[in-house]
Order: sequence, then structure tokens, then C-alpha cells
Amino acid sequence: MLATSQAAEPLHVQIDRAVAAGNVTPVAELAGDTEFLRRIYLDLTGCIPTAEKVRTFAKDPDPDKRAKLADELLQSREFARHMALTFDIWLMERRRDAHVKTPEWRAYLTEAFAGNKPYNRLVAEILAADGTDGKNRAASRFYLDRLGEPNQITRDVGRILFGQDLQCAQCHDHPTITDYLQRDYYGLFAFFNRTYLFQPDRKQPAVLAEKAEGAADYKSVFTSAPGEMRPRLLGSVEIEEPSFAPGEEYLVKPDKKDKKLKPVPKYSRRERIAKLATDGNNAAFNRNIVNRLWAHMMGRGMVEPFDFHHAANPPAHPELLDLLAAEFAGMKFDIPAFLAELAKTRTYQRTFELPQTLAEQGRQLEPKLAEFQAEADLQQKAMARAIADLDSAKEAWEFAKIDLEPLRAELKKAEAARNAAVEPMKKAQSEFEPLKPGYEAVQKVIQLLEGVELGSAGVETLAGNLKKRIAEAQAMEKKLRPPYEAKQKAFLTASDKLTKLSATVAEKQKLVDVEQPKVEETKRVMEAALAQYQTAKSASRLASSRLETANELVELAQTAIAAKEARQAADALATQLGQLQATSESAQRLSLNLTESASHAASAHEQLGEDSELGQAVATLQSRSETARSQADAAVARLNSHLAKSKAATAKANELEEQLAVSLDTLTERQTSTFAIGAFAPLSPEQLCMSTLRATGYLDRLISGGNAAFDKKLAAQTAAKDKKPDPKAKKEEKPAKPLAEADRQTEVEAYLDTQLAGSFNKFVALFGGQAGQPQGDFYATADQALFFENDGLVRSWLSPNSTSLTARLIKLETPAEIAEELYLSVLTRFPAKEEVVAVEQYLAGRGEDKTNAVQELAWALLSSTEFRFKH
Amino acid sequence: MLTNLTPRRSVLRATTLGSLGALVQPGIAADLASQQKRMLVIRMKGGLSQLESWDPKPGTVNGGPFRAIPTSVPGTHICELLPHTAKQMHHLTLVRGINSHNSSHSKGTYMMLTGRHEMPGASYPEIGAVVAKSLDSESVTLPGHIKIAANGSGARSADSAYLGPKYASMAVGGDKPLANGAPHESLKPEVAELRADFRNMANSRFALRRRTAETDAYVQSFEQAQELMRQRDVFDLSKESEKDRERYGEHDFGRHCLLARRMLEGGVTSVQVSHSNYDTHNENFNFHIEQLGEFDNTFATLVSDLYDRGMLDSTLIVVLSEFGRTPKINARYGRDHWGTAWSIALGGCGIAPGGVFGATNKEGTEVVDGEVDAGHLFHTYLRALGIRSTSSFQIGGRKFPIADPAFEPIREILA
Repeated sequence: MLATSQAAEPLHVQIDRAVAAGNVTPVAELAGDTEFLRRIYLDLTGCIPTAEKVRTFAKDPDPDKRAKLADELLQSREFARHMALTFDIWLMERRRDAHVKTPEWRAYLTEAFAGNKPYNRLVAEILAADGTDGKNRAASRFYLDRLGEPNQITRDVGRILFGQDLQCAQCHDHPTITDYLQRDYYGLFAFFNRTYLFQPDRKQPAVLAEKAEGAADYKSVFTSAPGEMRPRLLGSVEIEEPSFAPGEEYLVKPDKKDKKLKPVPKYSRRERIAKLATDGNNAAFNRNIVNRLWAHMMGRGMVEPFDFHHAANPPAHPELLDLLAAEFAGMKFDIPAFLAELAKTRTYQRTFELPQTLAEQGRQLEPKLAEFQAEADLQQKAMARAIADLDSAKEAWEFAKIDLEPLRAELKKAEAARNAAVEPMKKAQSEFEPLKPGYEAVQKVIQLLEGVELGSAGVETLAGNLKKRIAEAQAMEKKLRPPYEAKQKAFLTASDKLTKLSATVAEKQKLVDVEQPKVEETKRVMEAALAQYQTAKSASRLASSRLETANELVELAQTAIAAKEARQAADALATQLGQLQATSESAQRLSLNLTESASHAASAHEQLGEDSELGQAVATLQSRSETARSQADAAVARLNSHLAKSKAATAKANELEEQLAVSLDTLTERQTSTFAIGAFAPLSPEQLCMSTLRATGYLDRLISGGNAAFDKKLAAQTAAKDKKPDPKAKKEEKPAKPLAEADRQTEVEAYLDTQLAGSFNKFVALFGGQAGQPQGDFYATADQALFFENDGLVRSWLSPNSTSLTARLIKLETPAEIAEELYLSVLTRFPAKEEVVAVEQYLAGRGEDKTNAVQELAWALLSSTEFRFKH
Repeated sequence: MLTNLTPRRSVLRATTLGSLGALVQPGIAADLASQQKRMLVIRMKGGLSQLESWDPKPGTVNGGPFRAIPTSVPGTHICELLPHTAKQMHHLTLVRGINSHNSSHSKGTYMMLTGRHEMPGASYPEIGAVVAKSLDSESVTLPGHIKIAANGSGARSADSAYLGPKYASMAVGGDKPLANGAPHESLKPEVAELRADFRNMANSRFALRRRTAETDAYVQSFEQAQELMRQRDVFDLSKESEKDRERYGEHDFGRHCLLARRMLEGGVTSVQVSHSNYDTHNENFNFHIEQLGEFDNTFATLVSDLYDRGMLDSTLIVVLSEFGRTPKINARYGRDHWGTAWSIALGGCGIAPGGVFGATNKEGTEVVDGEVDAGHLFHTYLRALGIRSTSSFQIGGRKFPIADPAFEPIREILA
């Protein structure tokens, strides 16, 4: 894995390496400074930079200035606000406010990013919030503005936080995506289906409540197969949950009589998912966010669409996405740190421009095609071999398992038999053991008594006694023996049996021990073969992709040449057409003149009568006129046939150029999807609005206005303090907290938000997606264009006013100065020579009306494609 | 990321090379427009009573006071409140066996306009958006989906779901015919052309650096805006004759239907007109006299005009509600919400005229023949317009079935 072998290297180096390894197309060069500047400003602050910033950055000789700028922007307040907006749109998708107002929610997000709250903690707060506490009120917008609807929440948590749109799986397993299952949906649903919107009193804000009961059961509409899920995260197992005695499930029990009492369960499934999802161990959760952050910078996700992660829709660079997910979790979900690494990559810093040398590269590739073909074939074969190896390894493993299986079964049987014998043995033992001491004691007594030696006579009595005692003991022994012996036999039999069975077990175990390693070994071989196969598969995919790309490039080069030749031929024919036309026209004129002269001469001849000279002349003229006419006709015929040829040639040139454009498209798409070329993406409605405001100078005017308003407030406050309180003045109900210099930033922001709310709404309504739908899609509609063409808003921003763009332009003397200020302000780059000339011509064409002319120029660039996109 | 953008190379090549002017010449546009299919939805808001309109039951316990009258289709009778419409019945077809299992305004509206049952977590585009998207082509230069409203200001509604804002309905009908439809008076046409030329130059230069379907579409949106400005009269009712305004009636519904005719003729794909309000829990009969009195003549005029102008073959008309009304007459002489057995009328493009499909029982309390749901109707509209209703939209890399796959069209009424 990439992560372990190169862990010492910084992430951005690893990223570039991984991207390079997967690239099959020519890679774009690094972008110039101004191009980089516009891109990073849009990505990290949501707005283009000022013309001044472009000048200083372009001049700055520091070789490390790009990384430094990224770090500086990541610390900025604008970054926090832009991220808040970005996450608002990801999380809420422009849903209408229902129970929590957007400004409150945005403020919460802004503070989260300003304080660099880790992503997992932010999400944990959002998922755990119930809206009761002032602190989590804003965070609860995710649930509350989805009205607490569990299916809506399930779908959106799946899509937005885990990157999987399980909507189809609500009713059945996904018909085409094998890894989206109905039980996935209901596993997630089970976390939320006990949750509901709680608002017993309409005058009080709605909050979320949760029940302690409620099963997530379902039925497939296809198979009618029922199921029931305990909570389960995507790609994980059903969780273990605490259980409570009936009646003990609640901290606050629901009370049918008191509808205003919010029940509180002892165990909350919502709190559980907040912890589980965000602990860094859920791969889907981690992959989803790095894919989105990647897209935020790189213009598109490694998985597209964002909520369609599944096996048949693999990431552009699968290993890289895993690496990013692991690294992001490893850096404790620190978003600015992660974005800083992305900003440092060459991948991020590539130019968005199509390499101009593609055709040239195609020509150079032509001789190498055979090589690529051979390599692709080789890899194909290697993959076939790997598949064969994998198959046979699988087979060997299967066979080993088959060999082992009966042995294991026998062992199991033997073990069962042995285990079954243990109890009887123990029982026999327990019945035998207690008899043993009594019986053995009697035997001992007999032995002792029999061993007594009586030395002399006269001890008759003693001997008699002894005998008697022996007889007694023997009687006792006789009585005890049968049960003793019976139990002893039983015990011995049982223990014998056990011993034998144990021996069988050992024997069987030995057989298993011989076969078991074979299974393990074949399994290892199989796993190695699987890894080999996967490597071979991606190598083969890469090789054939490379071959395909090379073919495309070569074809592109050939088409380019053919198109160029065809165009030249068509142009040449067109030029000749002009000559032919001239020839034909003069022939026709001549023919006309002669015809006219002949007819004049003929009528003169008629009037004069017999004038032989004139008669001769008439005849000559008539014959000349005939000749001229036929020559003119021939010229027209030539012209017509040439015209047809010329038309055909032009059609052919057009067709080839069309083909060339299509080839270029294909290649660009390939480059774009593998990140071999710089990002290209539409600006969001807010980026477009902010950038237009910045370009026109209106934004900076508003910022000054906000500062002035704040200064005024401060001054008024100081003046009021100095003044003696006027006893007649009405007392304010709540004295506002006195303002301090530290409040400037938030006050100015609030001022901007108020001033710009209407403009933002307009842009969002025109350029945004539908509420509750993914917001990344691009739409170009006629009403957007009509807005730019005719609406008063942009026109008002363009009217000259103090330091506005057009006011600055009017003051500048030369067209070159005007062009520079204009292009730096609107397009964040210096104008090319041709562009300076075009500006100069435009201004000259508009004569005295410079005031309007500069507004028109600025308008033209604001409505151009270059401005509309991030690149 | 990219939605509904097929690179239109041949057209765009010309535009990026700086030849402005109409994308399609007016003459050609008129030709194309005559082949273009369109749809008009008339929404009877609140729930039209089927018993006082398409499925009268005179003389029965639930029938109410009105008679049934013969129509231009022998054997087909409708309520006497629709005498003018009765004369146009040979252009129309009735579906009398609708059971939509639903009697809530919002759910019923959702079902009838999207052809789907409402489900949390899912949202579907309305019929107007689906039709506009399905019938979109290079020759369509006007917005494809329009809802006429008395205060329509050009704003877009949220009714196109995943089809995106391009197919969201534009509200038209207020004072201004078209939002931002005319240049500011200070901008002279020749100056407008100059600044547009400067932008086109910038766009052409940029296309050499990077050109995508998205940049093409953006360039094209400005061309479309030009076209729209040229055609803005299509949205301007004041361009219709005094006589026509009289024929359609001096009320909102009359004006809206005349505007609908104008826009359909001008080439708008999908138009919706509403007529309010039929939610007659009280005084059902009086209200229907009043409402249908306004509806009948205007609607009949519109149908016969579309026929006379040769547009009925290419224009599908649907008169629908969110549901019907209860056969049982309540204590306030009203009828309540009723989704169990009710009717709609439709006709024109793709519909066999003069038919009746489905039937309710004698008292109108139950469907006894040809029971259909909103999903069947939705498929039927699409098929009538020549759209394969079992196909799918491909959007952002995934498939969305155009209509609910659980239903199918009513083949019996298709032409």
C-alpha cells in the first residue's frame, strides 16, 4: 500500500506520485502565477482577488509564495465564511428554512471553521443535536429542516455523509447496483426511525424527540421477503445495544396525559450514530468527505457523482482515494491542513489549458504504437495468467478444504463420542469412589488380623477371639465385595472407554493436523494469487487505456494534418473561384457588349440600306458576338463546376475539423477525469455573485461602507457616554452590549450580509439547482443571459462611482493602461497584446463616449466564458 | 456535473466564429414549430366535481340537480353546465375510471402532476418539466415549461427536481410579458451589438485555451437570450386582437387561455393554466354553476381555435384536478374530497378523439370498468406525445425512469 511504504513523504508528494502512476495522457504544464492566484482565491475564499493583489503576487519573487499564500488564505476569515457556505450547500442543498434560520446555521458553521473544528466533531455535533439546547440549536438544522422525517434523513445521511444514494433500496435491493441493499437502507434507517419532530406547542420552537422502541422492519416490493434491521452503519455489522427491563427504557417516560412532556430514552440511537460514524473507522464516511474536499479544489470528484460510491463506479485513482481517506483521518479530520496539502500538489497547480502540442505528441507517438500494443497484449496475457493462477489456487484451496472436511467431521464425531463418555465415567467414578475406603479398610483389618502371630499356648481365648474377629471381618468383606466389585468394574469399563475414545480423538487430531496446514497454505497461495490478479488487472487496464489514448492521439495528429490540408485545398479553390468569377464576368460583359454593338450595327445597317462595308462589319460583329457568348457560357460552366468542387472541399474541411473537435473533446475528457489537466468547473452562484461584486469594485466599496457605518456607531456610542443621560429620553428596553473594536469584523460582515442578501438571492435563483437536489450540476439558461443583458443590478454595479472599476478606468489615459486594469480586475490576469489592441479599437470606435465604453467592455468580460468558470 | 448538454458543434462553430444572428432562421423555425409537439394542462384547482362535469348521474340519489346533455359524440353525455364544451367533445376523450386512492390536496396534486405517489426522501419533476425536457431540441428556442399566473413575473418554480432549473416552470402572465426581456432604453442596438462582439471575441479566444460542453452551453445561452428577446411578443397578450380577447372572456381564465394559445403557437412546449376554485365543501352546485360558467365557453373556444389553426394534432390538452368530489352530498349542499372514482378530459395530440374510457357504477361510488391511477395517466400523456414512457433520463451519470415503472399507458385511448 502507498500509505505505509512512503509514509515519510509529505502527502502532496504522495498524491502527485499516485496521480502520475495512473495517468495515460500527456500531462499539462504548471499554471502561471495569475492562473494559480485566481484558482486558489476562488477555492479558499469564494471570490477572485483584487487587481492590486494580482500585481503584488505576480511581482513577488519568493519561490515558495504559492504555499505561503495558501496558508495565509486558510487562516483568513473569508475562508471560514466560504467553507461555511460550502458545507451549508452540501448539507442542506438550499432547502428552505423550516425551524432553524439559515443565518443562525451559517454563523454556527462559520465559527466552526474559524475555530478549526475537526470535520468529524462537526458532524458528530450535527448528528447528535436535538435542538433543545441553545448550543446545539443551530446544528440541529440538518434534522429539523428535514422535518425530522426519518426516510428523508436516512437518504440524505446516506448520500451526503456516506456518499451512497440508497433511495432505490428503500423499497428493494438496488436493481443495478449490487452493493446497495435494502438492509443497508434499513440498517441506517434504524438509527433514525425512532426520532420525530416534537412541537406540542406551536408557539414554542420544534425540537427532536426519540422513542425507546420502534423496529426497522421492511419488505421487498420485488420478492416480498421481509426483514428487520438493528442499527448498522454502511459497510459494517449490526451494533450491540443495551437492553432494559420493560418499563425501564426511559429517563423521562412518555406520558399520554402530558403531551408537552418530551420523552427521553436512556439510550439514544441518534447519539450512537453520531459517535460511531465519526470515530475515524468507517471507510465510507472518510472516503465521502475526502472525495468532496478533493472536488472542491480539483474541480471534480474522484468519484462522480459524489453520492454514487459503489463497486461498478470506481474512483479515478482508487488507491489514492483510500490513501487520502486514511491520511485525513490520520490528521484528525483537520480540513485546512488537508486543503493545504492539496494546494501544494502539482496536480492542483496544473494549467487548465489544453496542451497546444497534442498533435505533435501524437505524431511522435505513432512509431511507438506497436510497443503500446505489445505492452497491452502482454498485460492482457499476464492478467489471463493471473486469472488462471487464481482459479487453480482457488481450486487447490477448495480441494484442500474438501480433503480436510471429512477428517474434521470424524474428529468432531470422535470428540463428541469422547465427550459423551466423560459423564458416565464420572458418574461411575463417583459411585465407586465412596465405596473404596470402607472396603479397603475391611481388607486391611483382615490382613492385620491374619498377620497376628500368637507365640505360646495358653492363649486359646485370644486365638478364639482372633478367629472370631477374622470371621466377622471376612463376613463384612463378603458383604461389601459385590457392590464394590460391580462399581469398580463399571468404573474401569467407563474409564477404559474414555481412554480409548481419547486415543481415537488424538488419532483423528493427528490426521487433521496433517491436512489443516495444507488448507492454510493453499489459502495463503489463493490470497497471494488474488492480490496478483488485482495488480495485473489494474496494470492491464492502465496499459489498454494507454494504448487507447495513444491511438486517439495518433488519430488526432492525423486528423489535424488532414484537416489542415483540406482547409488549405478549400481555401485555394476559393481563391481560384474569385479569379474564375472575374474571368467569367468579363467574358459575359464582352459578350454583352458585342451583342449590343452587333444589334446597334445591324439596325444602322438596316437604316442605311445597302452598305456593304457596314454589312461586313455587322457580320463580323455578329460572329464575334457568337464566339464571345459561347466563351462566356464556357466560363460560366467552368465556374459552376469549380464552385461545386470548392463546396465539396469546404464540406470536407468542415467535416474533418468537426472530427478533430470531437477527438479533442474525448481526449480532454480523459485528461480531466484523471486530473492530468488543471481544474475546470463552473462558479457557484455565490462565487459568481461575489466575483462580479469584486470585479466591479462594488464589494470593496461596501466593505468601506461597512467600516464607516461601524465607525459611526462607535463614535455615537462614545458621544452618548460623554453626554449626560437625557431624563426625557425613552429608556431602551434592552441596553445593547457596548461595541468594541473587536466587533468590527462581525459587524462589517453583518453589514455586507444585509446589503447583499437581495443580490445573492437573485444569483442563487438564476444559477442554483433546485432546492433539495445536488447543487453541483451546471445549467446555462436563457434567463441567466437575459439577466446579464438587461437586468439593472449588474448595470448599477458597473456605473462609475468613487473607486469602482469603471471610475478607475475612466481616469486612466492610455488604452494599454485601461486594458491592464480591466483584465486584472475582471479576469485576474494581464491582457495579451491582441487584447490590448482590441480594447484600443473598441475605445476608438466609441469615440468620445469613454464613460459608457468602459462599462461596455467590463460588461463584455463579466459575461464571458472565462469569467463564468473556475480554471 | 454536466446536465443535458450535447455539444452542438455545427451550430456552435458558427457562433464562436462570430457570426451572430439567429441560430435558426425564422422561416425554418416556423416550419419546425409546426412539427413540434406541445402540451397544455388545465388545472381545475380544488377538485372539480366529476358529477357536475364529465360523469353526470342525473336522477340518482347522488346526482344533484343538473341534467346530462348530449354532445357532439353520439351516446356521450356530459353535465348541462358545459354546453359549449359538449359541442367540442368529438375532439376530446374522457377517462371516467380514475381511482387515485387519495383525497388530500397536496398529495393529489403531487400525484396527478408527477405520476408518482409522494414518498419521503424522493422528489420527482412535474409533467410540464418532463415533457419540456423530453421534447427539447435545437429548434426549441423559447423556455420549454411555462405556468400562467396572474402575478407571473418570470420567476422559476421548484418543480423540475433532478431535471434542473432549465425545465423548471417560468411564471408568466403579470404586467411584464417577460422578465429582463427588453434592453435598457439607454442601450442603443448598435452599441449592444458592439459589446456583444467584444464578448464573442473574448469567448473565441478562450475556446482555444479550453473548450467544453459547458462553455459551449454558456455561449449558447446568450444566443438563446437574443432569440428570446426577438420573440418576446410571444409572451405579450396585448398583441392579441380585441375581438379574440372578447371571445375568450374578460376574466383571468379567459386571458390566460388566450395567452396559452399564443405561447403554444409561438413554440412553447409545455403550458399550464389554472382555474380556481372548485373546493366546494359548501354550496357545490352554486359554485359549479359559477365556475364552469366561466370555464365552459373559454375552454370550448380554445379547443376549437387550436383545431382551426391545425394545432390540435400536435397539442395534447389535459383538463385535470387533484381529485374529484364525493358522490354523497353533505349537509351544506357540498361535496367533499374524493379520489376513489372520478374523471378527467383530454384530447388532441396522440389521443383517439371522441372516446370514453372506464366507467363508474350507477351512483358514482365505485369504478366498475377500466380503473386507472395517476401513474397510468402520466404514462398516457407521454405516449400521446410520442415519448417512450418506459425510457429513462440520464442525468449526472445515473438513470431516472421518466415515469413510474409500476404503471403503463392506457393504450385504448391512444391514437
